[in-house]
Amino acid sequence: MIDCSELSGRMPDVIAGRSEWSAEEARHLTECDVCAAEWRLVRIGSVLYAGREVATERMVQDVLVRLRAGEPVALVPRLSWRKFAMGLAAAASVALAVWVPNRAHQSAVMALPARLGPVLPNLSNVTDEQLYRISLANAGHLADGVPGTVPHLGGLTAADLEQLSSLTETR
Amino acid sequence: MIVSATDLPSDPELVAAWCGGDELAAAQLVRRHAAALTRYLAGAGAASSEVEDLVQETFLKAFRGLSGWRGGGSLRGWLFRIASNLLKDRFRQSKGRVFLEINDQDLPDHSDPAGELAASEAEQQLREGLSRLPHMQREVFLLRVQQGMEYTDIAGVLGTTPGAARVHYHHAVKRLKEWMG
Repeated sequence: MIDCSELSGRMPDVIAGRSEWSAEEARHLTECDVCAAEWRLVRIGSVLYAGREVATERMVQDVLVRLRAGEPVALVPRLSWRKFAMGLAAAASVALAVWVPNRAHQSAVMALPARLGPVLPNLSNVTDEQLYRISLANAGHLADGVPGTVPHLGGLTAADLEQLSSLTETR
Repeated sequence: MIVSATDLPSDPELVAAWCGGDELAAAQLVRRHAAALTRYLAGAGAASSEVEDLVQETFLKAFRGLSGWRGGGSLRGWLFRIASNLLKDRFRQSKGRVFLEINDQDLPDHSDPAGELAASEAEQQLREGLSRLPHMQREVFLLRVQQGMEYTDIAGVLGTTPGAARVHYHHAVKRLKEWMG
């Protein structure tokens, strides 16, 4: 039993040489009016404009002349939209990676005065004597690790360092 | 000396040579694909006077943007895609008119005058029928029947799916059969 729709689907492949009719199929194409009409249509379509002459050599020359005269040919691969999108995504993720920690750091810094508010008094109205007392009272606490109390060793001379290390050893 | 088809450089080899500055490679690519592009554009409704110009434009655009061609697909398919887009632009410029022209040089050369006449009449009928089809159906039919392409490649050329291309093809065949009686 021949399936007309299966034959219909294969017609262009037979024309293109990718498939061929069996004897039974070939006979069907002459007996079935529907298939015969379509087979004729496909055969005509396959040679449509086949007789049209193409002045190939003139076209070759024209194309080469226009290529030479025209804008520089993009021999270096251009950035496709896909590569552009990938690049954009990569740049965005790097920006986010940098921005988000900065934001976190920034908000931590912004929150610092509020956090330290009760701890650090407003020193602008404090007298020298009061200031001295405060410094004495906090000396031990501050030395425990508040930034600014750690001595900056980079500014010490070799002699200072020697003296400092000898003091530490003796303690 | 006879040169077999396997001795000829492949499209990717010619493309690589052209990208290396070899003009002869470009010339060879034009020789290889010009006729197929001409037939396709003529069948797709390009004005006879514009077909050659469109073919040239297709090659120029292709040679200037070969980086856009992914070596996985066929170069010819990619050329058809460019040609199809250029034709669409021309249609837009001409407000959608599809040209239907017939010249003596377009007719197949048959030795049998009666057969030639019948063939030319049938071909003329087909051209008229094609000009009445929606552009997707017309182009799918041409790529499938005239150019012998598979649905996967057709889908790549026309920016659609193989399934949709198959549907367009069957609609085109149905309408053309009705038109040709």
